[in-house]
Amino acid sequence: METVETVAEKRNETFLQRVRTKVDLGDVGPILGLIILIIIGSFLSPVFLTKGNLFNILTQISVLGLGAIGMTYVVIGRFFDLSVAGMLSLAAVLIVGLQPYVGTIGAIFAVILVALAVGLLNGTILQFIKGDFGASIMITFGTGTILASLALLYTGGFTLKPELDPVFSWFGNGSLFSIPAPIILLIFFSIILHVVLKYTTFGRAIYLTGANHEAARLSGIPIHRIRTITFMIVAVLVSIGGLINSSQTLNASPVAGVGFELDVIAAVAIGGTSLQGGAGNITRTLIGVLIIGVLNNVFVLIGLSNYDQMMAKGLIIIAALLLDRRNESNLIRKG
Amino acid sequence: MTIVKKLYSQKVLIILIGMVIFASISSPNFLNLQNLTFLVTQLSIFGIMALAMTYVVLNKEFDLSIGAVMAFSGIFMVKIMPHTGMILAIVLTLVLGVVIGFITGFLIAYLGLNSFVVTLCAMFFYNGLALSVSDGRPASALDPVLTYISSGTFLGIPNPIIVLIILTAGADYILRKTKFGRNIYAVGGDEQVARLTGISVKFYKIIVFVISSVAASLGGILLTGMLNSASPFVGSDAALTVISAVVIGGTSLAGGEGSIPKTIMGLFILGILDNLLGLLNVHSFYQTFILGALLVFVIGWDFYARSKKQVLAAH
Amino acid sequence: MSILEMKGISKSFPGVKALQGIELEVRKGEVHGLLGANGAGKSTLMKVLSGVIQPDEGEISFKNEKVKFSSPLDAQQKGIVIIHQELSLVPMLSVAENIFLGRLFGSKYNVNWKEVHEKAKYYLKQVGTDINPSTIVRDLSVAQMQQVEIAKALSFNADLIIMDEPSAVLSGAELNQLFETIETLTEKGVTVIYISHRLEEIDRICDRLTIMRDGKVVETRIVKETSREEIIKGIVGRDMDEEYPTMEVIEHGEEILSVQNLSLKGKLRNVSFQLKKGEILGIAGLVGAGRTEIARCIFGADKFDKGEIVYKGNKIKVSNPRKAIELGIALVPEDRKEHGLITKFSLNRNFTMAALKKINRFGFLHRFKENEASKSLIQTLKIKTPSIHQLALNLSGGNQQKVVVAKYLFSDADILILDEPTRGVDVGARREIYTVIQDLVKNGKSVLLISSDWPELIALSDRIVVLHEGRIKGELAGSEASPEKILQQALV
Repeated sequence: METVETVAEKRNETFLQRVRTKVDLGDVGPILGLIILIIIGSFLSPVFLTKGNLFNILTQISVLGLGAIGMTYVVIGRFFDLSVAGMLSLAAVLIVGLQPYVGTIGAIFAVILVALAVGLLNGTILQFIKGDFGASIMITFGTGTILASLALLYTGGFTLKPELDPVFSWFGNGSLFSIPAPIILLIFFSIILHVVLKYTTFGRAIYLTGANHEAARLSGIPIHRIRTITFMIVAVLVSIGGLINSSQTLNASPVAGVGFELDVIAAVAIGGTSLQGGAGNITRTLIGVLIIGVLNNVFVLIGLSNYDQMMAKGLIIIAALLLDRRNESNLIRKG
Repeated sequence: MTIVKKLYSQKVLIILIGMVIFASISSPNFLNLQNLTFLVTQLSIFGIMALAMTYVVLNKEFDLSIGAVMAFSGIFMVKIMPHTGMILAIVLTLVLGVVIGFITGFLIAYLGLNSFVVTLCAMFFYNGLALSVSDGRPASALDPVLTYISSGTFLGIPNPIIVLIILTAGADYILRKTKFGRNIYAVGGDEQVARLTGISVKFYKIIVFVISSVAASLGGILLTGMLNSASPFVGSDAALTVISAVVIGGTSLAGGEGSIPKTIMGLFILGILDNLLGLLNVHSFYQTFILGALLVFVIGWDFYARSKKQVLAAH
Repeated sequence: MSILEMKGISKSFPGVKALQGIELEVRKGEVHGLLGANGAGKSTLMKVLSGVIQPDEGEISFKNEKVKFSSPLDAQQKGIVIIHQELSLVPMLSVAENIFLGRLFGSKYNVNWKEVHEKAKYYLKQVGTDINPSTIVRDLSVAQMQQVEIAKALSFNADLIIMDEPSAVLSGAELNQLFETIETLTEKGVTVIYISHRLEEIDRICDRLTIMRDGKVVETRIVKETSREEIIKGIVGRDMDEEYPTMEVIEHGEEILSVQNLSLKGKLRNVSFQLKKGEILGIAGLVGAGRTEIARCIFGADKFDKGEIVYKGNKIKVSNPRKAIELGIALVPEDRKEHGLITKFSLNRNFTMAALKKINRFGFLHRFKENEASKSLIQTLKIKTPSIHQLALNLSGGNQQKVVVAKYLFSDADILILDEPTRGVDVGARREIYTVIQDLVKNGKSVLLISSDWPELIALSDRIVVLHEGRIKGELAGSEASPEKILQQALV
């Protein structure tokens, strides 16, 4: 086959250059970051690398993890979902609030339905107004505010106390094969989401939609349906996160989700999934989640107050964005 | 233009008038002078920030950090006050606004980061900072100068309102009649073109954030004076409200279109709504709900209308 | 007298020698055409000239002085202005504000609007138009926007104006207006460099021309003394018997598509035509006549108000592209890079994106099928690429176009609507696309061909319908059509 005069062909690529194009900074950077953090952590405290502490970290990030992997789908589709904070709060209070009436399992089903409705709402509004990335940020910001206020209205501002039946307790404190339930759930959903994203036509369609939505639309891909489904996925996963959270903390607070969206964005961005859409995967996000988990742990070991943690997180996200930006422009120059 | 078209182009004004009528009917207390004065005084703080936000949105950017900057500025001022005296404290707080705006603007203009995410991070950062420095507690601020500025009156009109009027006039004049102002429209309208004409896009992008943060600092100063204390908890709804005001008023999020008078109208629509809900004793949770719904509706409408226009223009 | 001399200009990028020892001499007051295939180096040369990039070697003399342009602004101030294909105006500001963008008169605090408008009117008049300076640019036609751009160039006291494919967005009467403007300019002593693919235009408006190929200047000649064949030979580097192929005669089958009374408010009025199986139906018309709109409506990319589409004997409702593709209708869009391909994805993924269900096995991607299909498409369409995993953006324009066509072949389209398939494709690659089109109909597909290149349209089409302001004005058989006849009907 005749080779065409492309720029890549004319370049006599050195071995190093070829390695660099294959292994993209997006993959290596975060893993490196994680390793560095783990090293720092182990220096700071002798108990850091114990099984107990590690499980502790993993359990604490399970809720974040579920939200982040769901958000990964949305971000690959080149949209954003800022309503996750409100969704988390609402899910937490609804599950506990409905428990006395329909039992835990009934409450879970009900909340999943609500989550599906929320995702559907987000997706439909954006479809109707033909919104773009910026629109998705603003609209979901608004819907998130609505959900948060609904949580407050539902409980009147009070925190609810759950009924501790075995099903409910399992989600936060139970275990399977001696691995804490939250971790199991995170692993379970991560595997499913990863497989779907990488190996199914639906997953491929999300990438196509995010990379160039107009070209995808003109190729017959139902971009609106796809994006709406991603919203529904993240809402459902966040709801399960709300359940785990309530089960772990033994109460359901209507402000449980405050700040959640920041953590989720942080995890996705730090993990290396580009906010430009059309690229990224579950594995990267999980690494980002781990980084945040270890980071939180390190913060506690250092003794940073809650307030200081807020500040630190803000700074870290910006740092991650800068790296993402640098990586993007490198990729464009290479391509 | 047909009558319908003429009416539609003034839709914001009509909604405003409608709201005034509706409010007067819904509550007998609405139209009394004391209430109205209270309304406008409350509005003045958000109003100053809305003027600044108009500049930001015209440039096709976003600033979510204004509430946090407002809170932090208040705390900052109160903390340095014992060491520097009131007047210097006020000046330094405004300088703080400049510095904060510059940093934010730099990240967005020079490092090319998305303004929404950056200002979201900034919001958490300054919020955290405010809480950290104040130990999570409001700090009292009693000072005659400050009290005069924020609660005093001049010729019978509360000072904040006067500040608002002066700044509104100034902001409007600058946008309409100066090179600086027209260039802001140019940068928001088409960045590429503006750049090719030698307009320093980076400069304008930074300056609008400086303007926004200074306005937030000024708001923080005034609010602290009004409440006689600096609280790290204020401002949580500020960004939401102010941006809503700007968008409701008709300044498009796409950049390059909009004006100060429009923002003022949007501000009043929101203000009247807020005032009315207060008069009717509607709980603040409901207010947040309404704000959220309003934001979704207004932004949705903005995008929807724009997409219709694009279809027509594309050919 | 020479106004511009470029000597020994060279520029290299990693791995590519974009310009090699360019020698170019442009005389004051002339219209100098610049031709060459895509990749020949025209745009790089113009970027050097307009200050966007610096040359590695060589000298530029402008107005008898050696110059080095440090930025586009610098070049502008010295008197060289370039007008790009994508116009650089701020749509929401007025004409006057656009002309004087960043240079408004008056003090810092008070803009002197009166002066701004007067001066704007002055420059607009020089261009030969009476557009009101306070009109918002968004409300102008594309041709008028171009005039504003030229006025803007004049306001910089440009001595040399470079026009990059100005006619790409114009045709017919608007083109004439542009030529008149250029004549006005040269009468005033302004020099114009005119870059275009269209030989008839070069013939008409240029005094001399320079042909570039592979980063070098092939020759500079006087237009009147140069024949078409010589130009084509210069561009392509080999003899081409004809610019356009003669199409084989194919038997046409039954009517496969019938569009009746298609109407779209403000754009289309009662458009009706039929397409037979195996036919190539050309759609001609001036810019804005509604050709792309017809394409998009049939494809479901845009909604229409009234009308019926009958496909293979059945009335159909295409509400979105997905339905159209399922039925077998495909649109290869005008803007292939933005709408036809996903440039940062591999060819693999691009080929299959319109027919994911064909590589779908219980929801999972059948990678093997995908790879096999890609290989076969590359072979069938003779797409030049070292592998199926090559990124789409690395392909040349012509090959990218083939990828888009391949995509719809894979989706088993029976009707392909091609919107400006050879736009931005160089002469050599064009022939390949013509071959592709010929093969399509040989294999039983039907084609709706939209093209602003009338000779191309005439050579390829069996029949041509001419569109004027949203209405079908006439129909011509391919054999009896000529650009004049088309223009007649397109203008009336």
